[in-house]
Amino acid sequence: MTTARLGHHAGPAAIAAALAVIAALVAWLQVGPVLQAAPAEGYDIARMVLLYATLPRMATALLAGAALALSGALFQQVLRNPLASPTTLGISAGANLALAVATLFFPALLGFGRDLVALAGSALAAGVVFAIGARRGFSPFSLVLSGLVVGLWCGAFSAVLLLLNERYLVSLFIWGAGSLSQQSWDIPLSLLPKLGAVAVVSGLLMRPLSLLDLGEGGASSLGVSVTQLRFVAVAAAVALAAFVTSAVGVIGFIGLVAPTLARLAGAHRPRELLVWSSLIGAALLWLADGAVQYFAGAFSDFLPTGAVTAIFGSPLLLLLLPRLKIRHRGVEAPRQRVRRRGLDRRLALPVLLALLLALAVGLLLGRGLDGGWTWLDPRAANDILSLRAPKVFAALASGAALAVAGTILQRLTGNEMASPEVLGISAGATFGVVVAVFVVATPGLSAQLGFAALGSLGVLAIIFLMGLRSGLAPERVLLAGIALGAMVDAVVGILSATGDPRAIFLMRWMSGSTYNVDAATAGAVAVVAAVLIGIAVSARRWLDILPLGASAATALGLPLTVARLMLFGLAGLLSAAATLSVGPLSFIGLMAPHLAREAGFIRARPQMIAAAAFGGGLMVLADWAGRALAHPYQIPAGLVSALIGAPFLMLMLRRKA
Amino acid sequence: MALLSLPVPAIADSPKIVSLDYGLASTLLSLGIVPAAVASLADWGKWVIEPAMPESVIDLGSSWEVNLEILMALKPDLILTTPYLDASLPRLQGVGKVLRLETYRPDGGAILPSVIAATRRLAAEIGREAEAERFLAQADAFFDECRARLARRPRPSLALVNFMDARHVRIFGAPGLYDAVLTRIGLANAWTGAANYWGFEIVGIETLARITDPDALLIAFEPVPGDVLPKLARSPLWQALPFARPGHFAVLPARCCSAWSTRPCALPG
Amino acid sequence: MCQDQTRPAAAQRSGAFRVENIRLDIGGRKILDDVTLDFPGGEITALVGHNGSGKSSLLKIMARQVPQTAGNVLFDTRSVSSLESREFARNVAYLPQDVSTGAGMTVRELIACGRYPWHGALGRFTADDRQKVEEALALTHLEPFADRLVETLSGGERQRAWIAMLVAQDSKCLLLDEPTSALDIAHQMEVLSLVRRLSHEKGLSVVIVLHDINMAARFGDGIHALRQGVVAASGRPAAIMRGETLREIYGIAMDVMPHPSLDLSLAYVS
Repeated sequence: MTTARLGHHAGPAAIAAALAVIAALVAWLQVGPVLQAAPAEGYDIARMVLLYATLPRMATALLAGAALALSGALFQQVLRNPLASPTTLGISAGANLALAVATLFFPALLGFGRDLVALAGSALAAGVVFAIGARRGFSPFSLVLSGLVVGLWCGAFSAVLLLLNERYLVSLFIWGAGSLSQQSWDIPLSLLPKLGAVAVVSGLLMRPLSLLDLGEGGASSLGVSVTQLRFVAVAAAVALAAFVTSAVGVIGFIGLVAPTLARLAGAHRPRELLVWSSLIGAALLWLADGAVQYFAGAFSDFLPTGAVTAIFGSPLLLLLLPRLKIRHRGVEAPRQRVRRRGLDRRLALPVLLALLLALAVGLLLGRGLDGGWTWLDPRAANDILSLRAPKVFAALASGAALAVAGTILQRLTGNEMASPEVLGISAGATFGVVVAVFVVATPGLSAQLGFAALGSLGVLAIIFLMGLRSGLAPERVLLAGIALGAMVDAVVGILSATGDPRAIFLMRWMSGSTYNVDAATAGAVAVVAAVLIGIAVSARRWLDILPLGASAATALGLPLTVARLMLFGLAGLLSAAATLSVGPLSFIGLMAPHLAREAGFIRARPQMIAAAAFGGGLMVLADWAGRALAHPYQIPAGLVSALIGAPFLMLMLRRKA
Repeated sequence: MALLSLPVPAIADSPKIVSLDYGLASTLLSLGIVPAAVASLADWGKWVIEPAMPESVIDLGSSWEVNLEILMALKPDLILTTPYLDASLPRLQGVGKVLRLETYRPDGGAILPSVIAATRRLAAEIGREAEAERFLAQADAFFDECRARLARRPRPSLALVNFMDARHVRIFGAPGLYDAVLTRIGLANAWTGAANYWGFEIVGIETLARITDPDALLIAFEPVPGDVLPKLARSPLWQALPFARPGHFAVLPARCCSAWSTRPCALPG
Repeated sequence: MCQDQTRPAAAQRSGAFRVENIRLDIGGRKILDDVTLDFPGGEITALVGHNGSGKSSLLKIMARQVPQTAGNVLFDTRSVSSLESREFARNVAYLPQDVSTGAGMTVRELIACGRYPWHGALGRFTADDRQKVEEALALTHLEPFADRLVETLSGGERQRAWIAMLVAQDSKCLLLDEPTSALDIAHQMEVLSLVRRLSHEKGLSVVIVLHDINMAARFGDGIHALRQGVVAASGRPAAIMRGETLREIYGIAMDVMPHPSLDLSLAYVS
């Protein structure tokens, strides 16, 4: 018994100790020379820097690391998902948006307290996530999903503010990239009591959390109120993450990696997991921050710690994903009952008319020099149409492509929350472009498309390989997407914080601007989309049969592996082609298939065609709104549709309760 | 119809010029030409302030994504841009003649001469050589006067910063326009550390301790976020820095985009 | 062991399965060990056994859902591994244990899926296909439900709809994995009567995994019983429904008594 206990502790203890030793060595490189030097008379700036910058920075790293890791461990324990983390619930995105709004519109608030503004933002985001989750007794799946959606929405909103006010928000990049730089003991000393209090609460939760391991039914039959326990534990985890985030900015992935290390090292019971995760997290961030300072000296560039941990954390996570045993299967989204109206034919005409109307508005209605609304002037028609038509048709093709990709993925995974955006396929495409920016200095259109396709197919391959083992467990797939998205954000964050011009290119790519789409690009996207949609429609029988289940499909003689590979590949290519002009965050791939279903288009072929019409039409309207609303400034179509799409999804999540 | 019936806001005999860059726009004003339209005009009053932009000038939208419909409706004779905005170049060239003026150079060469050369090229393009020479001479004289005035008193080195938040500053170094102007008027830049392509670096405030000159002055440009000064006042490290002594720290208004600077503060990152 | 070798004629009809020396190891555990059994054409054969006896695994191997570790599966004397997947599906239809709620399809649409092995991914849905679907609807008495959503049906109706899909598949043999496990007694009777009627009217071979030995004896022409991965008993229901045989299969004290009104034996735990 005792040896077994020791065995459980030995692994995590060894890891924590090893990390701490290396971190201490790196720290000595900084501290040692100052301590060994003879104290100077009077103005001894080196000693002041040691006392009021270096040491508080280390203290902050230790505290933040422990708190984030504890937060992550709590999330993972409660959400029964080894891959949940503070970033998962949209906490940092909410804080980011709050800071952006305060910087732009209420600068006085920053004087009052930057951390309070960030904290309020986190609390608000968490509140929305909780409000959605409450409808389903804080079920893990609904919390993760609403966290994702809230996070993406806040991100899109911040991006719009950023694009319209580029000069103002540089500080946000620094904050978003998580710098631990300190000039006094203020931050560690104010963090200590707050984090300590929450840590005590978490300690009290250990015993009931162990009961949660028995499964929901088991726990409630032993008298634990699962809903209350979840609420308190998630609130504690949110508070830990929000305190750290508001004080030093976004430190990515410590909350995910530290508990994962603890788990892989053999900590399994909640008590072991919470304790060792915190210690490993503290040592890990201490080490990471020390290494960042050591190397930042060598590169003479500003390297924010949070972005660096994210860049190293996300690939590690992707590597670990297939090896992680998901002990508790996540709760799957309950199936939605659809009222089928059987109106396929009669609805086709109104849908077509609406699409034509959207096209007409997109092409013909604009705003003049004085900002007034104006229809297309026939005399200037050629000039204006040559500008608008490529955007409108690229938006149409991309929206349709994303919609069809979403339909395919939802049918393929049997998960109605699957979409190119949520599964990280779009993030993969963006990541491909990030690579392109570094490999090819100024990637042309074909290079962009090629790298984007490679990126999205890479993500699909990862998802597919994981799916072979776990039957496409939705939570794994979701978190692979989150991991990749965070990595892309981190790269862009570092580039932006250091003022690299490539950041602009990537930011515009990510916001989904149709600005640089010319006639040739629009034509190419339209042709690619049309061909791929055609192939998808011809695969309708596979898409009808696959949702019946893998064994039923094989029993009917459907070549399961081939069909899945081809359909995944098709969805990847569709997403890559679309991401090229409308960016990775449009939500069209999630929205349009649902709209089509709601309208009564249930079977594969009508659903795909209707979804393509809805998706294309919505994207055309989003593009038009982006050009018209802030005239003469232009908001990228992808961001507009994300701003509309995310609340739509939140409503849907709530209603489905 | 609204598109064409608008009053054209340029002086009748002068060419219709639009600028995608604040620096080039203010150089145009210095040369006596009112641009027809300027990108990101909405923020002109916040970042440039002087010279004031006449009411008649039209906003072109974000400089990264100039509103091409407005640009086409204006039918400008000349579009001024910088290499920084090269991504939009193909679209611009479809609308009218483009003049792309390079002031920052990747090789980190001397900035002031290249800014002067750019001014002359712009003037030659629009036939305002005389005004340009007068303007350059004025500026030269102004610099000389500054230099002469400074020569008569002790000259501390200067560190120029923007406060990003309570913990970080953007510090301006070589090669950069600020650094070049400091050198021109005979002042030393206290920051000898590295700086990027556009002549700045983002650092934690504690890094200012690397400035070795005990008499150095710290000049911060507005806007200074509200939480910065109170936080600094509580930092023992800041108190120990030479800048914390009275008379060694000043905040200047935000006229950071001088007549020639193209984008030192307009950078997004 | 009590092998019943008295049915040479039945084995000759088409739709017959034979498994030879089947072994299945999963993660080092032996699930099936050297199982050799005949499933005669045109008959209903019930597969019974305790939980974990390997009966569902054997059915999955026959349906090619799970590859065996060793041994052969023969369908009408040909090895099933030689058949292309759609060709196999035209001969053998399989109903998994946990069927989905129908993915938003109507009953008729679900049944039409059964035609996939005939028209494939791109082929036309012909008049012949349509006719087979209508026949399946009629045979399973599902016409009144044809345009209802599968997910709105009751459990028994839903199983009938799935069996109708297998009928439309127009194969010679149905493999049914516990089709009655979630149903109440009335619906169990409804589904099993349907299976027996289909077998008799269309001459279909049926292999059906059943939990309830009394149901197996009532509806099966023959019974194969597995215990811990090996064949425990095999024969006509009358031969299986004996106290000592049932004790052999289930490992607890059991006995039989005559059905009060039918010519059947009823098993009970003694």
